[in-house]
Amino acid sequence: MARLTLDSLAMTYGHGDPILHDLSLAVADGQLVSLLGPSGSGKTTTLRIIAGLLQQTSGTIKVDDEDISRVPVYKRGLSMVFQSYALFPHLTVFANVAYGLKRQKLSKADITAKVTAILQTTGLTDLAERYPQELSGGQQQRVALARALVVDPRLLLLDEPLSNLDAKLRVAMREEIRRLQLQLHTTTIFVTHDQEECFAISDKVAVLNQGKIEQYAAPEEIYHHPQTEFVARFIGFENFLPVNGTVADHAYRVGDQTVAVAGPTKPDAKVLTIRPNQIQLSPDDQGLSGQVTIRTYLGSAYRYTVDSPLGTLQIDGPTETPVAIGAPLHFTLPADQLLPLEA
Amino acid sequence: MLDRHNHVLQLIGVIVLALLILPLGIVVVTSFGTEPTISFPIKGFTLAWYANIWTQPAFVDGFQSSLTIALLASLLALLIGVPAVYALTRFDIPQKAWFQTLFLSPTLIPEIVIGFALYQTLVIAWRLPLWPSLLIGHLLLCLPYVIRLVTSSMLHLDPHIEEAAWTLGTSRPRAFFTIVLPNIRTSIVAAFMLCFINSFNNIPISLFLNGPSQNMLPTAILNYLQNNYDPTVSALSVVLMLFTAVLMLLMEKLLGVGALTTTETN
Repeated sequence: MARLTLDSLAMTYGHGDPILHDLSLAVADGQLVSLLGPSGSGKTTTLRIIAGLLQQTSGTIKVDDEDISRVPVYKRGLSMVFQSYALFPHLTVFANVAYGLKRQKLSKADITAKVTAILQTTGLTDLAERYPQELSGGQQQRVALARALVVDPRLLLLDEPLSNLDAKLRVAMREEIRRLQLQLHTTTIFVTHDQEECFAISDKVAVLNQGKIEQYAAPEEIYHHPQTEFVARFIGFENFLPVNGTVADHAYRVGDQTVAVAGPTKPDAKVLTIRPNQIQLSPDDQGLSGQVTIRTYLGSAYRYTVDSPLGTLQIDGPTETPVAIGAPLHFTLPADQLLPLEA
Repeated sequence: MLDRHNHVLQLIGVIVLALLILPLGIVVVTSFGTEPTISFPIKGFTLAWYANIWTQPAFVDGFQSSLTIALLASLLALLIGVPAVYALTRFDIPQKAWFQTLFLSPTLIPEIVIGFALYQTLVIAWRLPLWPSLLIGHLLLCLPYVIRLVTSSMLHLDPHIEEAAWTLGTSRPRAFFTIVLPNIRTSIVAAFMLCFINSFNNIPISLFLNGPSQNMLPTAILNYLQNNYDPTVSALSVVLMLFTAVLMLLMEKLLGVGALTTTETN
């Protein structure tokens, strides 16, 4: 139950390239915020700096108004769930969960009561006397969560906690995490490279690229209005049309073509982007025309790679009327779906 | 995978086992013989040679100092080796590979050379008494076992479990004792046993650092054999076999099943 403020964090290992540049982030009390990015983007480094497992080169970390930038990890009052779960192999589930409480000045009865309660909440009561190696991945994950939550941390830090689970369990566990987080009102930082996963449960998402935050907003905002080409690519925009200039206030020049958009044009726009499923196929020979070079079956649709006057485009089409490779494809770009990006 | 039904392999196994066990069996038998020299088969049965062990001060003193040195050297090797391994596996240490080789180097150099070098340096040059010199020599003998066994189990231990303990409010030293140590216990017990047995049986190093005032059991046996060839040595060998067997059983019982037969934790 706390606010987290990161101010101008920077991190460099030795004399190498910086891992983080000037990273700032504010997380409100009780929110679940995801750090989303590909591997090497600095998301895990950021999390480990918050935890105190890594020392930042510069910048400050505040929890509420307390500056914890130089506080050792064991005094920060944050708990962390690791990708490998990191359960203590020589302790039972009960003792694993009780471990953190033993460092707090609590009576034995209080410890037992707290552990019993959290085991109940996480559905682990029947497994209390088992050892970690006797548990399935999902059960180990629950124990790791229970162990982190029982100490009533000011912040809960989750480092790709779902990536070792199979697809079905992953969906169930992410809902479980969200349920517990809302129930206990614990401010949570969730690191992931899976956009679906983080959109599903986050209040806000910070998209990281090469140690910088590219965009920090609610999932809906990021999904519909990515601000940079990197963010757009990461969340499924496949088509990026380089812009040469504007035509009055309603269209852009792309190659020797004119592409109309809704709303006023931005003079600084560098690319236009659109998702493959937002491009409309024309039933007649209207609109633009291109030639299909690759066809991929996606289950819900066919995805065509099309050579067109605008360049190579990814276009989704219905499965009922497949277009053959080599055949022409007619399509239009809906003006209200085209998104101009400035970077 | 080995084929369990491969008769050739089975035969080889039987031969190897026989070669290992037969000589020991013969030693056991000869220790009860009535002849004044070691002979097989025996013509009569006596326990006199067992009684004779205790009349030899070299054996009794040798046993005591071998036991003391083996215990101390093994303990010291653990006290130095375990923290060294922790540092080498958990911290970014410059010249890490160099340190690792340094710690393992006593296994690469013939023990007789180590013994001679220690004699030259500690006893001749530094005028150190024999007892501490022996302890240092046996410590060098033990250290590589600790380094090797404990390193392998530290490398198998997920470093995140220690970090998890820190984030739960545990200081680094405390996490070492409550989380790391219990999980590498098996390798520590195994290392201790190997150290103890190797130190207790060692001849090459002890040979150089021995003296009239300082006797070690294996060298005492060697000396005795030069002048006598009676079954006292057989009887002593049987006693030592039993002693080692009891010790190993005790360790297994006290410190966990499989401690000596597995080198990995979890």
